[in-house]
Amino acid sequence: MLLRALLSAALLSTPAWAQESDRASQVMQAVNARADGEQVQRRFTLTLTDRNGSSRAQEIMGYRRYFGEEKRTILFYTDPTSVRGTGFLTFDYPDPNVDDDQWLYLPALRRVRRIPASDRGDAFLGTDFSYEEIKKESKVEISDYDLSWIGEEQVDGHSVAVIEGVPVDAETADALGHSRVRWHIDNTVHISRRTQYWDSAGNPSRTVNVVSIEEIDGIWTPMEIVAENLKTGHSTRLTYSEVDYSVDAPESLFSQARLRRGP
Amino acid sequence: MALLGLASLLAAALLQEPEFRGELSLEGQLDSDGVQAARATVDVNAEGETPFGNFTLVGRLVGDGQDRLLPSGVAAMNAYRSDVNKRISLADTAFVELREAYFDLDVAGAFIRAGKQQIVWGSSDGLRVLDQINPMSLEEFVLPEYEDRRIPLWSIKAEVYQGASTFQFIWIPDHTYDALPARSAAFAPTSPYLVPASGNAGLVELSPPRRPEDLISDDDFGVRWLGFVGGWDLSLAYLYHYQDQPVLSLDAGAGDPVVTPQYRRTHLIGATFATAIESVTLRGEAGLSTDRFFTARSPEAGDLARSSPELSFVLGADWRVDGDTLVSGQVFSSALADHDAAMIRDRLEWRASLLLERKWANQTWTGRVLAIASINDGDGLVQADLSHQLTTNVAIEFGADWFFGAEAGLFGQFQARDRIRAGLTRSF
Repeated sequence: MLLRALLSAALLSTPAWAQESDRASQVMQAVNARADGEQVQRRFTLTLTDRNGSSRAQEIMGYRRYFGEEKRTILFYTDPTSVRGTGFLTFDYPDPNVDDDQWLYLPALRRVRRIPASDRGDAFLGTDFSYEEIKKESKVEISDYDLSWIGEEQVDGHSVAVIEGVPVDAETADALGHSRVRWHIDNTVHISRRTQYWDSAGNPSRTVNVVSIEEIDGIWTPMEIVAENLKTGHSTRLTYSEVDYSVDAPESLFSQARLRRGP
Repeated sequence: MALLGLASLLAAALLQEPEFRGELSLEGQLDSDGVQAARATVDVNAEGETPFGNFTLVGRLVGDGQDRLLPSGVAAMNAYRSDVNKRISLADTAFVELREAYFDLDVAGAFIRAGKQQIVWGSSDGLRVLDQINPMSLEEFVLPEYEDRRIPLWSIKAEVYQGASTFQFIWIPDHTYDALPARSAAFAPTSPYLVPASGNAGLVELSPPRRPEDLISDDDFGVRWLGFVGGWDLSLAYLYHYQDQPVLSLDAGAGDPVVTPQYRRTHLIGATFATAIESVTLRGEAGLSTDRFFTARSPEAGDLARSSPELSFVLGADWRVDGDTLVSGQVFSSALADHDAAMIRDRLEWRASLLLERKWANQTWTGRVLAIASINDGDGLVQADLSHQLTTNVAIEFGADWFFGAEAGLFGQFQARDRIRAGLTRSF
């Protein structure tokens, strides 16, 4: 009885900002706990549009599988002809302090190149998405941020919790390429429907809007995402199709040999 | 090999729901003598399933409004190719070529690619140590992309994947070797490293090469292991092959001396490594060839070359400055165990390369400068390119190639062939 009273007193004495930080953290933990399948196959259609409205399209076939806590992803460009056969393999380790291992296959060289792990904030292969966004698949490395609860809003008719994250230090901010981020989390599906980024000078830099979400095999899956660079006016629309969480994705699929062979 | 060819023809006929793709490239090249090439290239690619497995076929049609690169058509360079690997002449300045034709099969846990294909070993760019499987077509020296310079060979490659290791076996029954342009061609070799001079008469004419012809006993064989160990990409390789560069043999009979390209076997044993440390990739490869032949000043028993074991290596570092900028440097060295004073080359040779590449505007623009230089001879090559992806399927490219150094050097021999280039590619 005495212990319970002491705990209640301690809780009541917790500052409001700490409670809000906990609340924000719980929301983001739920985002990260969202099921995304042990393995998945899907087709990416990328439409890249510049500020003048001129568009280019690319198609990628991608596979991802967890090996314990390690996540392996392999992407094969299938269209247009000029990049067809280009492949990209990533081993993403659970320890955020351990760099990913990455390989790139360029058909013009017929050789797999070992490439350094990209800075997480770098643009992913010419798109307006960052490597971090493609890698985390709508999840967030919580340890990168000091989180705070902003409030609740409506986004496209959905109730969302607004959470703000500030990188924990300058080095992390530099790696992520932004100084502040605001997620609009739909607590029904635990996916940010709108994410806003600010650059190192504090100016709005990018927005990422999840336009369409579908439930496939019991897994809430973003199906259409639009990233816009507010500085250049360039945008990238990423549409997923042929999503299959029951695909057979053997370990040999995530190999340099398979990069050379193709999808 | 003929069986592979027949099977490929059969597969092409049996392709189910083939997917056709292609590229049309228009290129113009200008040097100090005027238009060097005004060329149209069409690549057509067909992929599909057959009862035997997936099949890929790539054909190429080339037409050049000039005849400076292939002044005698394809005949001279075809002499270096096996009977089933020849280009087919359509006119003096136009030809078709089967670039690739192969099956992909999964057999008892092994992946097999059988047919005409490119097989690439090694980890270096532009400086070859282990990349010795496919010969090169040298009608534009080393200026085109490797993809276009390599001569695909009829061969069988089998790969077995086991955990973090891949075991590869190759068999190459296609007796095709480096294809040298005719003496009157724009990029005919003149360096004494490659062709001998005949006293005051200048360069000698080469007679058609004498290629090995026997099945099995003259075929090339190789085996390779690739692994990923503790963050390192490692490979070990062994290749029993004919050196693709000819060994020149002199027949000084009653008439003009005749020099005949011939071929010699060697064993190549090598290893590669690559790893990434923060924003830098470190990579390297080393190879030991038991019998490499190098041009000599004076003939010995008819051969205008001497042999020696050769140990060579490349060390490279790729620094990814940011997501769109790459700086890459390489150092190459070759050492001969039995250097002969009559050899043109030094016992120890060094080369270096530097690549700067920058992409911008969401990677629609790419600027690239590549420099390769011989430290021993002080000659080299600088290539600069600027390309722009106009739409999904249309790209334009501008470039320049600049040779420097003494005419006797491997690069300096083409100092009169500096050129500027422009091209447009439409894919479909």
